[in-house]
Amino acid sequence: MKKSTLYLVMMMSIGLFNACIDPIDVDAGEGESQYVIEGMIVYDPEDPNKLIKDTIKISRSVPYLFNGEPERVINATVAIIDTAGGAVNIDICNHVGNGNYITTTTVPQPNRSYILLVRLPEGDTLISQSRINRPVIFHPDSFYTRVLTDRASGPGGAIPEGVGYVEMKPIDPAGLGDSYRLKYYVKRNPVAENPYLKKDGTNWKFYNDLKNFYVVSESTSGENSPNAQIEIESSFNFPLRYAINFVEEGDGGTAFTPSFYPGDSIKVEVYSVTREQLFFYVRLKQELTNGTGGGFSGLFAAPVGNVPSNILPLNPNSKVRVLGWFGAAHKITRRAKMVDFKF
Amino acid sequence: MKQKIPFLFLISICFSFDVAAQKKIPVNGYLKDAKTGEELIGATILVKENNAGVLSNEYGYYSISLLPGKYTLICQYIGYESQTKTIDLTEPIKLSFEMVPVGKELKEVNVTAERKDENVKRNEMSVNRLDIKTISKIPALLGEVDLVRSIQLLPGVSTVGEGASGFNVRGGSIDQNMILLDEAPVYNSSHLFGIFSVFNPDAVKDVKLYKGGINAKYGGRLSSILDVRLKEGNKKEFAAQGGIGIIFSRLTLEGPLYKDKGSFIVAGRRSYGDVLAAPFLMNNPDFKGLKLYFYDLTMKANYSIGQKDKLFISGYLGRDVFGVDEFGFNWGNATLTTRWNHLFSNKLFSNTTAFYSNYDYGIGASVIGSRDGFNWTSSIINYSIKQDFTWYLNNKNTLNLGGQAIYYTFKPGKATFKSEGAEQRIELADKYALENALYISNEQTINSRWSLTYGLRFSSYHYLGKGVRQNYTDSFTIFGRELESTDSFYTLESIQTYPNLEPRLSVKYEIDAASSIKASYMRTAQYLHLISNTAASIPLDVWTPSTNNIKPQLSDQVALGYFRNFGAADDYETSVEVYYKSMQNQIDYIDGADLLLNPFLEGQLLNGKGRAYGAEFYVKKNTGKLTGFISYTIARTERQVERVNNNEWYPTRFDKLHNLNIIGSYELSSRWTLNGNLIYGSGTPVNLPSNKFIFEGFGVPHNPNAPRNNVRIPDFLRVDITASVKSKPHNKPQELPKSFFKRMKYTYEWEIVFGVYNLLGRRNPFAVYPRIAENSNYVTEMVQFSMFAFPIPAFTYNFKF
Repeated sequence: MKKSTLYLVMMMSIGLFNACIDPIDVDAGEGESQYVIEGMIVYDPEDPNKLIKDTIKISRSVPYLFNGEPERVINATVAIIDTAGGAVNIDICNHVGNGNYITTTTVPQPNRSYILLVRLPEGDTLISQSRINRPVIFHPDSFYTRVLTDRASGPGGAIPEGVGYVEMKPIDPAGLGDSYRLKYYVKRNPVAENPYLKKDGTNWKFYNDLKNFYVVSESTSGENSPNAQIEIESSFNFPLRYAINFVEEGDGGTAFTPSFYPGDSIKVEVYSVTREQLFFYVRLKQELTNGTGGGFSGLFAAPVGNVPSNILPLNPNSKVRVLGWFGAAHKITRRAKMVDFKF
Repeated sequence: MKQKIPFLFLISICFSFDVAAQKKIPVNGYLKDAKTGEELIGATILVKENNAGVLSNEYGYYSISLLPGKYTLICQYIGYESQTKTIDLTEPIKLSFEMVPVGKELKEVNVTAERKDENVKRNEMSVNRLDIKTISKIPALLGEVDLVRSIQLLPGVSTVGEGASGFNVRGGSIDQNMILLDEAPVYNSSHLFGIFSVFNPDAVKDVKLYKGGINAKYGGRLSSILDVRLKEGNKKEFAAQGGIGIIFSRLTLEGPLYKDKGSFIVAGRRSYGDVLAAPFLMNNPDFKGLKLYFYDLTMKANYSIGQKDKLFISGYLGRDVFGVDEFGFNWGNATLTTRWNHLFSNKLFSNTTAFYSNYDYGIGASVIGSRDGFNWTSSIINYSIKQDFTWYLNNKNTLNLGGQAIYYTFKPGKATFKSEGAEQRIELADKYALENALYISNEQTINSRWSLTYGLRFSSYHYLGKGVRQNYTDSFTIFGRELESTDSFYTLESIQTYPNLEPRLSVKYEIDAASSIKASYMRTAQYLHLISNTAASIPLDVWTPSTNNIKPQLSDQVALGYFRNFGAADDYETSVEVYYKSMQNQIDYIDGADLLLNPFLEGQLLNGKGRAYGAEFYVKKNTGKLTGFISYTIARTERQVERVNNNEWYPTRFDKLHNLNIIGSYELSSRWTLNGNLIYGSGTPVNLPSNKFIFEGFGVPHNPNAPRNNVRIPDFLRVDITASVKSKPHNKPQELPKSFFKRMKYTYEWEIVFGVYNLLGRRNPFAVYPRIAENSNYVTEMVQFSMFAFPIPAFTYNFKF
C-alpha cells in the first residue's frame, strides 16, 4: 500500500482542509532507566564452524527526547548455555567494548534451545531462553531475478515497467508453528552508469530494517488451525511469491527501492524464529511506524504501548526490569545477480 | 410470571389515579404544518380551562380526554404561530391543527410565547432537541450545515477533536450512541472521516438527543439515542431546495401524492473533490482513476388509507469512495424503513415498524490487467420488526408499550489475495445474534407539581449459530489469552444468552411556573461493540456482537437537574444538570492486538469498567435580535481495565475536563444575519512514552510505568464566523412560462452564506505522538497533529422554490 498516495488522496478529497504535523515540547515525565538486551543466536549452515560470532548487546534506556548515545553496560557477565546433547555447555561471552559481548565456544545447532544468563553490575541475574526453529525450504529454482516487460506484470503493481526485480518462492515445511523474518541486501555493480552506486556504495547494503522489515507466518484461516500464528503482514499460504523490491516514500514522491541495475547482486536471508520473537518484531515495527507517513496519518495513530520482552530477573522478587529480546534463528541465505537488461 | 408483575403493577397504578376516566370524552387528531402538511412532533396542546396538556407524538398525533363541556384548546410549537380553537365537547372529536410558520414580523413576539415553560414543564430531562433553523444558524465548516457537528456543541456532548468521527455523550464512547434515522440504526454517521455527517439537513424534520432518563421504549446503547426523523414531504405543493457549496451540492424535491393523501421527498448530495482535483492530477500516474467522493440519497413517502391508517416508507443510501486505480477504500450505509400507523381507538395509537440496515466497508488494491491484488470487506446487517403502542389512558397517564426483535448478521472480514492469478481467501466466520426487547412505560401526572415517567425494559440477547464458541485460558501470554478449545453450534442454536432488566425513572417537581427540578435513573444494556484502536473512528473499525467472551456493556446513570426560565417572556432558558454514570464490561486491548482479520481477537480483548461524572450548564437566549446559547460542561470519564495502567483508573482518550461552546446569531436586518461561535475544550489525554531504548539502532518508545493516557494535549480553541444574506421576500408568486408545468406558480428564494472557519488560524491539536525524526533511526521527537490548521473560507449558495 502506498501510504503517501492514500494520504494525498484523502487530502485532495477535502480540498481546502489543511492538516499539519508540528514538533512540540511535551513533558511526559522521566521514567526509571532500565537495562536493554539485544541478542540472537544464529545457526548458519554456510558457517558451520561459527566463524562469525553472535553478539549480545547491553545498554540502558534513556529519556525519550534525549538524543545522545545511550549508556552501554560494560561490567556485566554474559553466558550462553546449551543444554542439548547430554552435556551442559556454558559459554562465557567476551566483552569487546561498547557493551557488546560475543560468544566464544557456542556453535549453534538446529532445533536446539539456548539460555541466556546475564549477571548485572549490581548483582542481579537475568535469564532468557530461545529456540532455533526449523528453516524455510528453498528449491533450486525458487529464487530468481526478473525484468518487467510492462507495468502490469509486476507483483502488486509496486514496480514500474522496465525495472529489474527479484522474486523468491520459499516453501514452508509441513505442520504449524513456523515464523520467519526476511532481510535483504544489495551490492551494486561498480560501473559508472549505475545510478544507484553513489547512494549505496559497493558493499552489501541492508535494505529492510526494523521499520521496513518483512515477517511472515502461516495463515490463520480455517478451523483446523486454532493455535496457528497470529497473522502478520501477509496471510498467503506457502509457497509464497515475494518481490523484494520495496516502495520507498520520499519528498519527491514514490520511488521503487532498490531498483536493480545490470550486474547488481542481491542477497536474501530468511530467519526462522519463534512465534514470540516474530510478535516482538511486529510490535517494534508498530511502535516505530505509529502515526508516521505524514498527512492524515496522525488520525490513525494507535495508543503507544510497550513492546514485550522475554528477559526476566532470575529472582522473581528482584525489582530489576529489562527491555529487549534474546532470540535464536536458523538462517538460510540465497543470492542472485541481475542479468543485463535494457530500460 | 416474574415479567408480568411489573406490567400489571403499572397498569393498576395508571388506572388508580383517574377512576373517572370513563366519563371523559376523547379529543384527538394530528398537528401539521399549514404550509407543507408536515406532521409536527412534540407540539403542545393546552386546555385553557383546566391547564391540562399533552404533546404530539413522533407522528404528530395527540389525544386528550375531557369531561363534557366547552373548552379552549391552544396549540403551540416552536417557530409557529399559536393557534386556538374552541370546542363544545359532547361526543368524541377529531380535531387537527394546521400550524402556520411565523413570519419575521411575528417572530419576536410569538416564538417567545410558544416556548414558554417548555424547558421547565416537560417531564423529560437530559434531552436536547435541535430544529434545522437553529442548526442552520451555527457557523459551519465550509458553510455546510451539519447535524452531528451541531450536536457536538450541546452540553454533555464532546468529541476527541476535529477529524474524529461521531461524538461522545456523558463519557461514553462513540459506539454507545444509537443513531436512528427514521428508526433504523446508522452505524457510521460520517462522510469524509467525520467532517460531515450522513444526514442531509434539507430532509431532516426533527432531531432529538437523549442523554439520560431515556424512555424504556429506547434501548440497545449505553449513552445516548440520537433520534433523527425525516420530513415527510410537502403535502400541499411541489417544492425544491438545494445548495451549491465548495465541497458538495445538494438538491431536495418534495411534493404531494394522490391528492393530499400522501407525499414524498427525495434528497441527494454528491461531493466533487475528484472532479475539482482531476485537472491538477491528470498527468500524475499515481492518481490514475482518481475516485474521491461521497454521495447520499434520502427518500421518504407516505400514504394515508382512510382516517385510521397511514403508511410510510423511507430509506437512505450513502457511500464514501476514496482511491485510485490501484488502491482504494469505501464505506456506506443503507437503510429501509416501513411503518404503519394505526388508530385502534381515539386513545390507542399503534406504530408497526420493520427496517433493514446494512453498513459495509472495504479496502482493496489491484493493478488493472494484472493478476495480483487484494480485497477486504466487512459488514453488519440488521433486520428488525418493532411494535409500539401509545395508550392515552387518561389525562394523567400516557402508556407506551411494545417490543422489538433485531436479527444481526456480522461479517467481520473477508479478504481475497491474488498472486500471479492464484487466489487465496481468508474469511472470518459470520456471526449471528438476535436481540429482543419488551418495554412498558408510563408518563404520569400526579398533580400540578409532580409528574413521573417510569418504565421497564426487558432485553434478551442471543448469540446464535451457525458458529463456533471459543474457549480461552484465563492466563495471559504476550499474545493474550490462548485458545483452549472450541465448540461448534448449528444454525440458530443458542451459543450464549444474556437477559437484562433495564428500569427507567424520571421525576419532575415544579417549584413554580418558571422553574422545576428533575431527577432520573436509567439502566441500559448494549450488546454490540466497536473494535477500534484509533482515536478517530475509521472505516476499518469492526463491529462485533457480544459472545461468550465479550459480555454486554451495562450502564447505570443518575442525573439531577434544575431548570429555570428568566425574563418577562421567558427570554432566557437555563438549566443545570449533574450526572454520574457507571459502566461495566468495557473493552480494551492488549498492546499490539491485531484487530483485523484475526479469528482469535477475543483472546486479545481486555475487560474493564468505567465511570463518568460531570455537570452541564446551559443558557439559551430565545428572543431579540441576538439569539444563541452557551453550553458549558465540566466532566470526567475514566476506565479501569485489567492489565492496563497497572489496573488503576485512567482517563479515556475523550476525557475533557472543560467544554465551553458559545453560539450567537445577530440579525442585522431582515436580510442580513451574522453568526459566530467560540469553542473551547480542555486537552484530551494521550499515551506518550517517557523513555526509549535502542534496538537494532532504532530508538524504541517505552514507558516503564506502563501508563495509559498519561499526558494531556494542549487545549482546543476555535472561533468561526459567517454572514448570510437572503433574497427579498416574494409576496407574489412568480408564474412559470406556459410551456412549463402548465401555469405552475412558484416563489424563488435564495441565501448566500460566507464566512471563515477557524478565524484565529489556531493549530488545534488532534493528537500528540512520538516518532523517529526524518533521516534518522535513533533521534526521536514529539509531534502534534492538527486537522484544520489555518483559516478556511466558507461559501454556500442555497436556494428554494
